[in-house]
Amino acid sequence: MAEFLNYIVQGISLGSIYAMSALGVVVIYKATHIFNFAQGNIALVGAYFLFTFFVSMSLPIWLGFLLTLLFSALFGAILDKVALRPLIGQPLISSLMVTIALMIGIAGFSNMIWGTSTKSFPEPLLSVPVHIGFISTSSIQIFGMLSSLIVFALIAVFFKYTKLGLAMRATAESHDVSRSLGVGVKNIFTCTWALAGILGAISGITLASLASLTPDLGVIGLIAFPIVLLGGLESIKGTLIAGVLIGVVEILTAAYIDPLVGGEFRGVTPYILLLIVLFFKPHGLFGEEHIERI
Amino acid sequence: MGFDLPCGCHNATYKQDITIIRTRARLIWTLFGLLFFFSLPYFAPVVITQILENIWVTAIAVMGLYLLTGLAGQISLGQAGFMGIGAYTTAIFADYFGLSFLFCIPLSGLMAGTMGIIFGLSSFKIKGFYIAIATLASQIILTWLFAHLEITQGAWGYAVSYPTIFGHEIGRGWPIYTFCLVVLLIMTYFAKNIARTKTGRAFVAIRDNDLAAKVQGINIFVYKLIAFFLCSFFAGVAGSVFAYRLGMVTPEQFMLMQSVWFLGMLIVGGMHSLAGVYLGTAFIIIFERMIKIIGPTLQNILPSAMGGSYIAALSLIVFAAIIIIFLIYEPRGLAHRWETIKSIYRIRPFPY
Repeated sequence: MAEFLNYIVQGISLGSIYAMSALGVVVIYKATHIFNFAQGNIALVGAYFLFTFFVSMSLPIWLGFLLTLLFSALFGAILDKVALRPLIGQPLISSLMVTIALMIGIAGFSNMIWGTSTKSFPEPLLSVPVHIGFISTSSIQIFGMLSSLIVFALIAVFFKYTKLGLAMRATAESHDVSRSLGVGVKNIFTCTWALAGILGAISGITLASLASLTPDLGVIGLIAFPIVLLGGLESIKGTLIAGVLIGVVEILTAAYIDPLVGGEFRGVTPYILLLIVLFFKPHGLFGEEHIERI
Repeated sequence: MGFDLPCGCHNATYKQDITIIRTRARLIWTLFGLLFFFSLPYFAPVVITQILENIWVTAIAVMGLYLLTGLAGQISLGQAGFMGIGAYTTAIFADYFGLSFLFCIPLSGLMAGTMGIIFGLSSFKIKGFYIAIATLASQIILTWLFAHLEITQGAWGYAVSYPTIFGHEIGRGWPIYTFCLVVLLIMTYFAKNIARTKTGRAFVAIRDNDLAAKVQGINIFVYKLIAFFLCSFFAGVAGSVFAYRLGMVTPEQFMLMQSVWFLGMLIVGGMHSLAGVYLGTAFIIIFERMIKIIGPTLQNILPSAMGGSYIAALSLIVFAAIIIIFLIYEPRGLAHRWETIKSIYRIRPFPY
């Protein structure tokens, strides 16, 4: 029983970290209706930024962290300016293909600059085992869970109460209407991508310190997509719940099913779960069903 | 049809309207082209024929994607997975049961098509990103299955021997080249005609506006499944020929990245015509080959500190850049460019 509870706790903390990387996709989708395939690699680049500032340039951690957030925001904004801006008004497949191309391009870019070798973060970001009662976890898992909760709360407040968040929601509803109400749609897009860059950096740093910093992190970022769809594409609450769900399912699979079938079955379960849920609930668990008219 | 006829040539009867090769000039060009490509292995260097074989096989898979993405408007990120199903089916049936390729190729197609329907079932009510992610899910599940199922022999994969016809082996060199080309031509004929029938028109209606299509009495669910079936069928056939040609099947030949390359080929070529399928496939494969040739030279020139992975990374960046540039500046692809070039002589002497 203690073992089972342990797995649940591990699943929840892993899931909340996953949910954070999914949140970047949701934020972009909410404001611009673009599904960003490149989010995993944006997270990877964010983690590499921190590595550069903190390890290679040995700046203090707080300064490195701030610089990382700044650079990630800039990175997101540049992606928007260069690749997505010219495609406003193009069909869906164009924007989808562009983000897929960005995913590949960013992977190449980060391989070129930072190489493909495995790196790991030193002291404060090193995973240390922690025991609370019978539950054994690690410092990074606790840190990840807490930061995820804080980020989710901040984003929820941001969308609900700030002027910029309101403008983003208005933009998502209709570009024309929000433009006529004095919202600079192009600026909103840039802000959204910058925000996604920041969210990506935070999730990338957590994921990298949980395991290690390798180019594979971009592939782990793919896990964000089943979470986003399970959560219903636009719901922030749904993303958190779906993330936790997938984290728990994955850890339980790793614990109980992997020994039976062998091989990394845990990596596949989120996708099987996704296909099953999509069959019964096409708009995810918390998605809104849009009524369409011709 | 009809727009692309030369000056003074009109379709007066239905029979003329549905003819694929309409004018004598076009017939001559087609025959000349076929003759050229069929006789190519007798005089061209081996490198060229190998590249062309690769293009023929890949074009079959991209053609399936053309039916699903170009016509029906559904995005698939799982084409390589379905190609893998075809390849494994061929490997198992040709290797264990010794079946002839005449059975193996259609069987591989049907097998992949059936799997396509199973995975397509989840696209019952969904569209857009949802389908893209559902196919991504199928790709990841299939890759895992290839690497872990007992029947696929894990990472070792299978060795496949060359196909035989009437006791003669269709071996290396011109025989296998001709084999690939013939299968491609049959599949092209098939795809061309699907696009012009009721099914193809229903696909286009769904792509342009699925609600409007539904109002017109098109059963969206059934036609989406047909689109998935056809797309996977083509992938299965491509996989089968791929297995015969390469002589081995392993899981890492059918990864997600390969699916992305297929989509890239379709984008670069232009997703609304069969000419685009050929042009895009040829463009990307030749580009890939060029990187492989230029890569080592470039590595010698560049400082060695950058390491060997530098070239691989560079090719990823260039590939991404090509797709983005095409999407921004030439969203209708190379096929559109090709059409504009053709129309210059076709409408002569008029300016437009």
